[in-house]
Amino acid sequence: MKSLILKPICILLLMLVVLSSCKNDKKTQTQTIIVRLEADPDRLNPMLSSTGYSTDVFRYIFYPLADIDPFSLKMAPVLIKTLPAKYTVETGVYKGKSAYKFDILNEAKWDNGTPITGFDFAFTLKAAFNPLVASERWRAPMGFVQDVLVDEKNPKTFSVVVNEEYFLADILLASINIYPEYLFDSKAIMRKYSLADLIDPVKSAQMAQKEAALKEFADEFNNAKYGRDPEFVMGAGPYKLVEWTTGQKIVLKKKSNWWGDALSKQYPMLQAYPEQLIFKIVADNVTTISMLKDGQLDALGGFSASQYKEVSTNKSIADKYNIFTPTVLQYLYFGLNLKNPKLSDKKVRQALSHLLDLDATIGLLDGLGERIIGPFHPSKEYYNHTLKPIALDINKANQLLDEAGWKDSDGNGVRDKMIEGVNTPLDLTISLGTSSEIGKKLSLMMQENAKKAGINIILDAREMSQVMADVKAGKFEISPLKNRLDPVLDDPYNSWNSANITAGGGNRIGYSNPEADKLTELIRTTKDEKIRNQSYQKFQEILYEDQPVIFLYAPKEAVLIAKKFEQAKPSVIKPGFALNYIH
Amino acid sequence: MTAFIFRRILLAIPTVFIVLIVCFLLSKKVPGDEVEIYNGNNIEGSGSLQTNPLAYEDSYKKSCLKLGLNKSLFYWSLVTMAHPDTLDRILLLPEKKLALSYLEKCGNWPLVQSYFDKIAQLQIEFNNMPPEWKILKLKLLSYLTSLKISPVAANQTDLYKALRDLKQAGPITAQLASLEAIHAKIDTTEPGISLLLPKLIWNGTNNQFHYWLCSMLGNGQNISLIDGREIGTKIVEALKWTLCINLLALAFSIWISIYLGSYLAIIKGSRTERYISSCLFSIYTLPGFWIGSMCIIFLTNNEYANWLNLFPARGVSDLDSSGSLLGNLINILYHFILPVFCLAYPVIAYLTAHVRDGITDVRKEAYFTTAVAKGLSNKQAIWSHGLKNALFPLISLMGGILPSLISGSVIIEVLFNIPGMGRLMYNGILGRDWPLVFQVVLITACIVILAQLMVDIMYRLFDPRVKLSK
Repeated sequence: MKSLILKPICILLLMLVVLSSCKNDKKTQTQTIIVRLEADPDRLNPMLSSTGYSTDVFRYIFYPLADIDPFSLKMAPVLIKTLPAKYTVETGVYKGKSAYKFDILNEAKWDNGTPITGFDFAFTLKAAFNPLVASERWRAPMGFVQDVLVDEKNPKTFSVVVNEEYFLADILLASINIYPEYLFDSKAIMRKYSLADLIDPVKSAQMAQKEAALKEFADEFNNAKYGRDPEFVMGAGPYKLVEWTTGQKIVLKKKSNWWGDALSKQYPMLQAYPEQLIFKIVADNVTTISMLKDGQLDALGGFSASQYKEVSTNKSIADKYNIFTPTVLQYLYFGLNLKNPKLSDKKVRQALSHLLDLDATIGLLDGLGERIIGPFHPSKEYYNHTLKPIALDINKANQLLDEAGWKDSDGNGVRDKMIEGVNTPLDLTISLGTSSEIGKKLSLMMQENAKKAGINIILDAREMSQVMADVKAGKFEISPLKNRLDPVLDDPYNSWNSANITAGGGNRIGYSNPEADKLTELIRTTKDEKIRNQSYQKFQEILYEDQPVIFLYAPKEAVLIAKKFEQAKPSVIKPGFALNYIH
Repeated sequence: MTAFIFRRILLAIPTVFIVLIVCFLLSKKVPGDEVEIYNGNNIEGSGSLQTNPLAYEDSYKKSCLKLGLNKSLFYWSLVTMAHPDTLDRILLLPEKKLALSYLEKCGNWPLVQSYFDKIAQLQIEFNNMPPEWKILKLKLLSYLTSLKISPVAANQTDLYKALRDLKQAGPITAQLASLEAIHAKIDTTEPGISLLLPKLIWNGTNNQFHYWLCSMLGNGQNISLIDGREIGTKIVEALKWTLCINLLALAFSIWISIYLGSYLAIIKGSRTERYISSCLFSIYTLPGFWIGSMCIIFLTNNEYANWLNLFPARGVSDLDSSGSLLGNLINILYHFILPVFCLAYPVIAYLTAHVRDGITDVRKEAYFTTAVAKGLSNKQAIWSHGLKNALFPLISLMGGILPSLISGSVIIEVLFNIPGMGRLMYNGILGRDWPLVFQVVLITACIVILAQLMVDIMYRLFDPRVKLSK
C-alpha cells in the first residue's frame, strides 16, 4: 500500500536533486556589474521616456556635452573640451544677442566612425522642437533657445544663441543628451527645417499642419524600436545595448576600442571601467534582499531608513557589501493649501510647524535625515544657516493660535473662529498616500500634538496619484510631500513665484508674496553671483517667516556596493552610484 | 458535438462583450485625470515645467487628442435636455467639470458657453501682449486659467494693483469686468425645467469604446501607452510564461492529488489519514504570497544554512539562453520549482480532499467489492476500476480551478519576477495603460471561457451519458 505514495515522493525527490544541482555558484567578476531595476524602463530614448528606470540605464548609453560630476557635484565637460563660454554675437541676424560657444572633442565619434559634430546637437534640438514629437519635457525648459549656429568649416565648433538671460542656460544646454543624426534621421529630414522656425510657436503650429515630412520624422522617431532595439539605441556614451528581455534583464556592453578611454585621464567624466553592466529586473523587495544575502547583486541604492535597519544589521549582507548613507537631493515637507481660509494666516502655519518633533523622528530613522529650514539642500553654499530649525513647542503654538484669533469658545477642545460670518472649527485634513510610511508617521505625530493645541486633525489616506491630483487641483488642506532637488543652482521661480499659481504651474500651494516674487525673478536673471547668493538668503528668510509649507528634513538613503569593488564611492545623485566609475 | 461547440462559442461572445464594457466603464471611474497621468504630471516630486498656462493647456490638449478622449464615452449617452451634444469637445477635464457644474446651476448652456468662449478669446488676446509686459501677461493668463477650472478665483489683489499702476490697463479691466458680468449672470439665472427632462443622445461610432474596440481588432494603432510597443507582441511574450507555469502547476497538482487522494481513501479512518488530512486543510488556508515570501527568505540564500540555498531567488530572470536545448529546459524547470509549488499547493490540498472522498464513495460500490473479491489488491482495484468513476467530479472542478490559478498567479508572478500576464496587467494598471489592460482582461476572459468549454467537452468524452445540448 505504501508504494502508492512512495512512488511520487521518490520521483519528486529525484527531480529536486537533479534540478538543484543547477544552482550555479559562479561569482561575477569585477568586469561585470549587476544591479537591480525595480521595473522595466518604458523606453531607452531620453527624449521620450518618462520613468526614472530609463534614466538609470540610458545614462550609460547617451552622453551629454557636459554633466554634473557625481562626486564633486560641479559641472564638468564630457564631450566638449571646456565648459561653454558666453559671448555676444557680433555679426549676422543675431547681432547683439548672447550666445554660448561649444567645442566638441576632436576624438569624439559615433559607432560608425563619423565624428560627433554640432550638426548632431542641432539635430537633437530640432527633433525636440518638432511639434509632433512628444518631447514636452525637453521643450518646456528650453524656451530661451533661439538658434544653433554650426561652423561649416569646423563642425565640431558651434554656438547656441539665446533670446533671454537665464542663469541656468549653459547648464541646461550642456546637459542635453546628444543624438546621432545619421541613425535617427537617416533621410536627413530635419536638415530642411531651421531650428529658429521650429522654436517659434506660431510658425511651428503652422508647420505641424502643413509639412508632411515633419510627421514622417515624428512617426519614425516615436517608433518603439528607437528605445528598445539594440541596433537603434545608440548614443555617445561608452556602452551599447546588447540585450533587453522584458521583465528579466537589460545588458549593456562596453564598446570595443571606445575613443574615450584614451582621454579619461584628462577628462575624468569619460572613465568607464566595467566591461558589462547587467540590470536585473526585480519587482519584489523580499526577493531583492534575498539576492543581496546571496551576493547576486553588486550595487543597490534607494533604501529607505526602515529598510536600512534590516540591511545594516544582517551579517550575510554586511559581510559582502560596504554600506554608505549619502544624503539624497530631496526634501520632505507638509504642503499647506494657502487658498484655504483656515491656513491663509501665517500665524496658524507657524503654529503647525511647532507641532512636530523632527529631531526625535530623525533619531528614530537612525539619523538618516538632516533638518532643513527652506527649499534648498543644506549642502548648498547659499543655504541660510543662520535660521534655526523650528522645534516642538506646544505652548508657542497655543500662543500663536490665540494671537490669530482661534479660541475654543464652545469648550469642546477644538478652537474655532468666525470666518465670513460662520463659526468655523479648526478641523484640518491631512491627505496622504497609502504607500508613504514616513508620511503616515509624521501625520500621526502632528495629529497627536495638534490635539494638545486645540486643532482637530483628520487623516485621509488614499492612493498617491490620487492625492497628487487633488493637490494639483487645490482640493486639499495639508499633505506630506517630497520634492526633488537638482545638484545645480536652485531656481525657486517655478515653485514659489505667484505667476505659477495655475493649472500645470509649479506653485501648487498658491503662495504669493510680492517680495518673494521679486527675489525669485532676480535670482534667475542676475549675472552677479553675490547678488544672487544674497537673494537666496533673503528668500529663505521670507519663507521662514511665512511658513508657506512646513519644511521637514532632507533624507539620507542607504547605498550598498559589493566589497570586491574597492575603489567604489557613493554619489548623492540618484540611484546613489555611478556604475562607470566602479572598479 | 460541432454544433454544441459552435453554439457555446456564440454564447461566449456576449459574455466577453459584457466583460469588456464593464472593464471599460470601470476604467473611466478610476480617480485621477488620465491625461495628467499620461503626461507624467502626477508623479510626486515632479512639477510641471510649463510656466505659460497656454503651453500647459496646449500639451494637455495634444495628449487628450492622442488618447482619443475628445470623443463621447459610449454609443449613446443619457443626459438632461439642458445638456449640449458638444460637451466632449471641451478637452480640459477640470474645465469640463466646471462647465457642467455651471450648467447644473443655471440650466442655460449658451450662457455657460459664452463664458468659456470669452475666456478663450481673452487668453488669445492677452497672449499677444507686447513682450515688455511679460509678467503681467503671465499673471493675467494664470488668472484666466484659474477661472476656467475653479468656481472661485484665487485672490487677485496683486493683479488688480498691477493693472491700476498701468496706464493702458483700461481695456483690460473692461474685458475682465465683462467676463465677471457673465459669471454673475450664471450665478443669478434660475434653472428651468430642462434640467429635469431626460434626453438620449446617439453618438454613433465616433465614441471612445468603439475607438479602442476597433484598434484592438487590428483596425488602427494598437500600441501600449507606456512604451509604444505593439500590444500583441507584449501579450504573446507574457502569455507563454503564464500558460507555462499555470499548466505545469495544474498538471503537477492533479498528479500529486490522485496519488495522495487514493492513498488517503485506502487508509481512511486511520490516525495517519486524519493527520495528513488536517495538515492539508491547514496548508490550504495559508496564503500563497506568504508561502512564496517564506520560500524566498529561507530557500534562496545561505543565510540560515548552506544546504538551504537551493533555488534561484528570481523566477526566470537568470535564464541564459545560450545553452543546449535540454540544458535550457532543465534550467527553466529548475527556475519554475518555487513558483509552481506556490501555485500548486492549495490546489493539491483542495483536489486531494475531493479525490479521497470520490474514491471512498467508489469503494462502497458493488462493482468495487466484486473486483476485490475477484482477488485484485486494493491498489489494483482503484487503478483499474475505481479511479475513472472517482475522477469524474474532478473534471467539473477543473473549470473553476484554472481561472483561480490564473488570477492567483498575479501575486506569484510579481513575487518571483515572472514576466507573465499578471505582471503585465499589474504594471499596466499602475501606469494607467488602459489599451493594454483591456486586452489582457480580454485574453484572460477568453482563456476562462475556453477552459469551461474544454470541461464540457471532456465531460462528454468521459461520460457518453451526458447530453451536451441540454
